[in-house]
Amino acid sequence: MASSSTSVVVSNKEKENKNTKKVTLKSSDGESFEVDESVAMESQTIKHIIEDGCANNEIPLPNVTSGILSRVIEYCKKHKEAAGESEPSVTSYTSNSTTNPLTEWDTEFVKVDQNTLFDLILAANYLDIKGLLDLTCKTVADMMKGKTPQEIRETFHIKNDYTPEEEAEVRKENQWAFE
Amino acid sequence: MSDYLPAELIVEILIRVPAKIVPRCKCVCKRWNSLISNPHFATTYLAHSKQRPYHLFRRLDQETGEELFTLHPSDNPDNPFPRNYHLKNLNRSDPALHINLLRLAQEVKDKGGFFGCSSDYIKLHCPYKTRYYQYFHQIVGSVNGLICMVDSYSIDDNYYLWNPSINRSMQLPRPKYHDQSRSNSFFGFGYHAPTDDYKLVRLVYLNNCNSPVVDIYTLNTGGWCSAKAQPSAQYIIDSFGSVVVNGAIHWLAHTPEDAHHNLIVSFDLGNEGNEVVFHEVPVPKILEGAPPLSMMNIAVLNGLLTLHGGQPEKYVDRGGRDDRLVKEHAVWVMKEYNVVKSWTKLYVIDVGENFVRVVGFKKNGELLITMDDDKDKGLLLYAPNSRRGRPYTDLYISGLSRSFYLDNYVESLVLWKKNTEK
Repeated sequence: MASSSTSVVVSNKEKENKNTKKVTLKSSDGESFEVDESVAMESQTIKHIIEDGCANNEIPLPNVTSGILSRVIEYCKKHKEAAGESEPSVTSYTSNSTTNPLTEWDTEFVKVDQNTLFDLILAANYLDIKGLLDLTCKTVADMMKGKTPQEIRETFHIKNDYTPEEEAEVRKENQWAFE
Repeated sequence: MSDYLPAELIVEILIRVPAKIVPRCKCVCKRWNSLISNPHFATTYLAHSKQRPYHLFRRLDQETGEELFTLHPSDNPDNPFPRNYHLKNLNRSDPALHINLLRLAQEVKDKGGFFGCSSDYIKLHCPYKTRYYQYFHQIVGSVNGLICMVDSYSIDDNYYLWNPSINRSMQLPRPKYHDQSRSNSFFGFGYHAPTDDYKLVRLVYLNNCNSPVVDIYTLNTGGWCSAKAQPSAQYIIDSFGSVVVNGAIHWLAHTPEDAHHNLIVSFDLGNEGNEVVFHEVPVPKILEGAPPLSMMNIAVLNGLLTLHGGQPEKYVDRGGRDDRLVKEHAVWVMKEYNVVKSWTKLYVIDVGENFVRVVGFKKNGELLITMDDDKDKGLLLYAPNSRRGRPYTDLYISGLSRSFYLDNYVESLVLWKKNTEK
């Protein structure tokens, strides 16, 4: 690659940054986050607000705290970047069988405490970010593998509201699932 | 968690739980029980699992006589059985690369091939064994996670439905006995959406009759009923298997001698009552005339009717001998259903005389095929229109070639509530 072509690429990128529209998202606890509009539009909810012309440069998100919002923005930024850079996947001798290059990053992203995980699910649902909803729900679903109902209750702090008789009944109906 | 998240989000989580764990979740608390018991849950579950499809593969191990079923994730278009799976960890800058490639290939073979070296599959445990050792089931088809199989190696057939994702299965009752001492049966299995029902259709040709008796089993009633096809439905079925497209079962066939022409016969899954109706779908014009397409088979590729296999040469009179000459092996796709002009020959399969059949189509356009020669090569990978020196690659998958079966599969909760065996 000739150095002249590299410098052309750099200056185009600089131009891009100057022209990028920004939008401000405001969390429930009053903190403001300035992000690229294209990143914010990873959220279908925000996308509709902007497209309906109701943005006024600051979008209040009363259902999302600053802690969660900053994580959500991190997710959207990373996934937007990856979408921009993606090349058609080439099957090489050393490629993995999964085609998602962000699998490792996503796995690290959801290594959070349970409350944060559930808050991320609620935020992903409210903001309508399909990839994040899928990732977070799948993470919770995976936590149930190999666990008995009691272990599932303990993991998620769920109260057992069955009477012993009721529980025996349900278990009997589904006994084959425990073998 | 239950108090924290609204019902719709608990459902979003539960539909992502592996099918066999879902029943366990019913025992966690009443709220989860009620969400899962809702009839819509199974529908939502299936809709989501259709986005995460698998491949189902079956092979008969010739040494143990065991029928082995495996599930392979379908997320990568290179699946199942990616080309060069065993070279995943190879160091490409290794100067001794070519020597190492050969050594690796031998190692892979020694370790048992794909199933000895890769972990990219799930082993299933089929609850049924065929009544004769070293025989394998005829797999009629698989839809919404339900696999329909027939063991026909005896006077009476055994019919089974099996959902491996929740490990539920059942043997079907037998249909009414017809005097079928010298007749053939042909099967199709599909889902009828309007009635949310699964149907197994059996065509029985009694002696000297070209219009079949049609037996239909419906899961909702748990029983069979018999019907007669319209008198003009005179067909001789050529394809071993059948496919379901547009809510109808399709077989490859030809009409009897005088008016001989090749065609595809379709049977709508909505057929009911004593009289049923077959419809006709044309084959490519060039394949319409004699001889019958007995070396070809029917498939579905991306939802389109597909014909593949050996296209016959016209009959050559060799002093009375009827030679089955094959002009070429090709794959045809019907781009617009029931529009004869839309038949398109995708490519010719160019591997020489020993080609036997296509076992399956990969999403990346490659084919899984078997060949017939002295050394039973097992399952091979073929890349159409390839400019490589040798068009096919050994996948190091051994087993009885005739037993190889590949189809799409999705996890589901179908058969959960039926009164079934384990």
